[in-house]
Amino acid sequence: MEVKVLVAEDHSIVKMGLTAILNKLQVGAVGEVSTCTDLITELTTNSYTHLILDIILPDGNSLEYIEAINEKYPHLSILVHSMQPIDVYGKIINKFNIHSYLHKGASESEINYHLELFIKNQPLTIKKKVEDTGNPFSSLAVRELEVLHYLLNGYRTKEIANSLGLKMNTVSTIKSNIFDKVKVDSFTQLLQLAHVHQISY
Amino acid sequence: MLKTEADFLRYKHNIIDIVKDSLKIDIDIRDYFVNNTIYTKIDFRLYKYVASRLQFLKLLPNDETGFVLNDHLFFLRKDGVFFEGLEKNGSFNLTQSENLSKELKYDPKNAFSQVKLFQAHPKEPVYLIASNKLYYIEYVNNKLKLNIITDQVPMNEFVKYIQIDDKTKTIYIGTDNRGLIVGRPKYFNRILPINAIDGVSSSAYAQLVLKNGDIQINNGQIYKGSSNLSKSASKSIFDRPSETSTYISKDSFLYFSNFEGVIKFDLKKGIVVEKSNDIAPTRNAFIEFKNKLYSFDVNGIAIKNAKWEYKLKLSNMPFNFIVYSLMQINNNEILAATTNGLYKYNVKLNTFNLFYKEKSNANFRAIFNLEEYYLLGTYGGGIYMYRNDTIKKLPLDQNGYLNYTHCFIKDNKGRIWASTNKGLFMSPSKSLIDFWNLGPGNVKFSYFGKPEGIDELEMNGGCSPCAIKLADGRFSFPGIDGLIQFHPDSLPEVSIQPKVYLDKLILDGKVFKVELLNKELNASIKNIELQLGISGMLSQENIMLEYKYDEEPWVRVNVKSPNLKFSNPGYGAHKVTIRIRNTINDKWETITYGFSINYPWYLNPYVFIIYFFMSIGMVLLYIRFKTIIYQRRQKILEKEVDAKTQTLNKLNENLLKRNQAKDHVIAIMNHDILTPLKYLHITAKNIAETSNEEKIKKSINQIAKTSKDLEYLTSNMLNWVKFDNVEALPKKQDLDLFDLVNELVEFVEPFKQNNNVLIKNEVTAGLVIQNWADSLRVLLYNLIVNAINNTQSGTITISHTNSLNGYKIIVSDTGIGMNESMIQYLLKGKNKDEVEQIPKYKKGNGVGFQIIRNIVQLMHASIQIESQEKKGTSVSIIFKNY
Repeated sequence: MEVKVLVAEDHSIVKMGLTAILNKLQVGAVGEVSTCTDLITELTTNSYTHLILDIILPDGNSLEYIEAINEKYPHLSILVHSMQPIDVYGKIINKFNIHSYLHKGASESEINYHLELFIKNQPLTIKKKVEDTGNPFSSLAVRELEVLHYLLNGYRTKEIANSLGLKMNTVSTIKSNIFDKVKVDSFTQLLQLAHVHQISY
Repeated sequence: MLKTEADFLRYKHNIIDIVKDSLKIDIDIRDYFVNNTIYTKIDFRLYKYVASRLQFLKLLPNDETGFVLNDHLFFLRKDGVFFEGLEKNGSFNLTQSENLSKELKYDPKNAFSQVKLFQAHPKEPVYLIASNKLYYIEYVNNKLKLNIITDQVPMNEFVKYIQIDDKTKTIYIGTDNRGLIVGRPKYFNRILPINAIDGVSSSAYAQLVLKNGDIQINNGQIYKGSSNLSKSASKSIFDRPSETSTYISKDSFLYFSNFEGVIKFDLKKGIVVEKSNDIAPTRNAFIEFKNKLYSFDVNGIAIKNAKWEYKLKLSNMPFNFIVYSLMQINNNEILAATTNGLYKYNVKLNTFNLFYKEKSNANFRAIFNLEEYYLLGTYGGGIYMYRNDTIKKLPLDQNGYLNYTHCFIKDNKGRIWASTNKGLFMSPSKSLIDFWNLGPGNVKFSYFGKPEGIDELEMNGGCSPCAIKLADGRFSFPGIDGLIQFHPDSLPEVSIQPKVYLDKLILDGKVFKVELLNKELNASIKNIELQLGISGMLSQENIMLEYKYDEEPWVRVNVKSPNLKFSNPGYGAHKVTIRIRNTINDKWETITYGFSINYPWYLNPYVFIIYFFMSIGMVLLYIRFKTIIYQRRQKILEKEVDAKTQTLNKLNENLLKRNQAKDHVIAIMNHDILTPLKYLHITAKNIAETSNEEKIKKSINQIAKTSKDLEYLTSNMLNWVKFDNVEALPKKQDLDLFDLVNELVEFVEPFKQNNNVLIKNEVTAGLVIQNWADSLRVLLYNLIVNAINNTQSGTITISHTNSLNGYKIIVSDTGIGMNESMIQYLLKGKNKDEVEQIPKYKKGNGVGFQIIRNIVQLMHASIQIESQEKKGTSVSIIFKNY
């Protein structure tokens, strides 16, 4: 079966780089999308065996779509490639059907090696131990990370509830949990803390 | 019958009642009690008192004065003829008993020549004055006998009363014209030379008792000595004057010196037996010590053998050095009183050393042995006592007469007599010894001066012998004008207790009644003066007067001016205690005067209550005042704080915005620069690898390399910002150093300049350390990249070793190395312009080591750099376990 890889990434140079590595790995068919919307459309339009997915895309947080993608394309192998701290977002591997989480800060050789295993559908033989860096956002659950993303982008509770299809009370509870877990009292503090701990949004 | 004084007074009133109507005003009534019979003489008439009435007995035309002796009634006529009054067969007659007109030297031509008789009371002694003589009359063997008391009664005085105190032998003569005249026995006699020598002073020094009891002094003059022995003048032995120190040896030779030499005179034979010039005849002092005669003079200490020989020559002695007196004090030593102080001559060691020098440089002149003590007289320095190498100074008398003490002599009663320039002092030996043992508190002494009959007080000393005892027991002291002689036993031992009383009270210069002391004195009084009166027939020198003000120490008062002055005595009650004693005993007579000075109104206790409340009021007022000020200040401060707070809030807001902007920039750099750069490098590298055109390949390779450099620089910029101004790192955690280094080795692979550089991880596999993973990664990353930048070919090694109290992580390379100034720059961050050799580090922009220093500081670790140019560099990060 021909390997077809879809790269969901908003930086064109990253897409080019990934394509170059994939080409080097004898992967000829590489599709590219830059937004969540394009991602869903492309998956509907064309058939792919592998998906390299950035979390933060210009029109939203791709995490929201992973569950649906898993359901709709159960054979699609997914590699999350993001600048988000792995100790915060690495936990999605366990929640969703995801091959692995490759941090964009990884070394070139690590990227090469990681992608090779991904393409060959081989499991990551050496799984790096996730270090506790003291990042307060590490304690957040996946749903809380989704809400966090909206909060950091300035969405109100109602808007978040609408976007995620949740009740406002649920969003309020999640919001309260986030504030408690990262130990902040205000949105300003939350925003500062996110910057300090390199949480993109 | 008259038995008591009261009976007599009643009788006396009766007489006056009887005679008052018929007699003149100037009435002279005298009463005589004889065998319970009262005779009364009223003017010229003699009465007898019988059955409460006067019975006339006889007219006394010559105004005879009656007196009673041994129950006999006598009358004396003014010419000195005595009569006895006798009643016989109812008639009263006067019978002449003695005619003493001649003896009493009655001169009928002289109106003042009269014999006067005094008897205060029929039981009292009868005194009689005739010219300058005072007698008392006895009736012995049925005869009247006159006994002379003194021939010093002032003549031509209107004597009204005579009283004699038996204890002190003091005569009190009351006169109409001269008040009270007091007379005392003369115990001291001043003797002048029998053979006054022309041009020779009568000032006496060394005395020598001659065979007939007369005294010859060193200048040759002869004085009367023991009275009964000196009926004729003795033969002079001093045909020439001698020096003032003479000495009589045990074998009765007299030694002295004069200009002919040292003279030896045989007192038994009365001849000079030797005139020696073997030693200088100056002022020699002599003493016998262990049967040898010694002479002390300014030149030395000589011993008399067959000849006089100096045993110890003295040199450098003070000018006019004179040895006055010598005394053997033990088996080895002789004490010498000299012009230069007290010396000791050790006969055995033949040493002559100064033992004590008087503070005022006073001469030591006399030495007197008192039991185991020695009294030392000085000229100007008072009296000292010496015993066993210890010397103490006796207290002075109140006038300081004892400052100049000449001679000491002891009498039969153990009393020590001392002559001074102002009279004689006497003190019991026990009192002096008590001084030595108990201190100077109560030295007992008596002073004898002019009131006791010493008419010339200045005595002489500095001679040997000084005071001498004569054969009749009298003492003879050399004086400035003759000899002072007296018998110590003749002096009555009367210890009169003087008394002190308040004579005048002077307040601020005004005299007030002394009774005012009992009342409260006005608060304005500043000066209180108590003028004291002293009674007791004692010379002032024999009275010791002291006072104590409240609880202050006792203060000695000079009896000459016994005035106590108190300035600003202070308010409230005060007490002045005054005590007085005779210097010869230690019995103090004490009186206390209390007085109280009113407090001024502003110090009244009630006023203090007002002060108290006023003070509280003032404090409250002050507090209120201060509160108002504080409240005002508070408001101003609040306004200022509000203004400042607003400013700070604005600044804080701005800062927050700036921080947010900075954080946002960091996030953008991270996401939108760092990642694209990484993939730009990957893309460019892939293109270069696949491109066949060499020119394009070279350009793309350059892009790949530059993008890698930019990635590194950006990454470091982010790290710099991240660690700059961070105060502390979070908690340490366990991390696998081997894995971390492996990861870094892989990460920095693209930075290698060529494939000739080998990066080795020499950390033990699986080594887990406690550290900060994120920070340590950045730290090692920078160290390794630095090593890569400086290593063209060779090996870069990352290793770990344990060290004292911690461990080291070492990054070493075999690159170009660096010099010391570069090392210092890297360690301390000095201005890079100061570093002389920059080209080797042209890639460096300083950020790398700035980050390293920041992180190392945050980790409380230290950096050590060892480098050799062209050989390589080893950078150690030293961590301590804590």
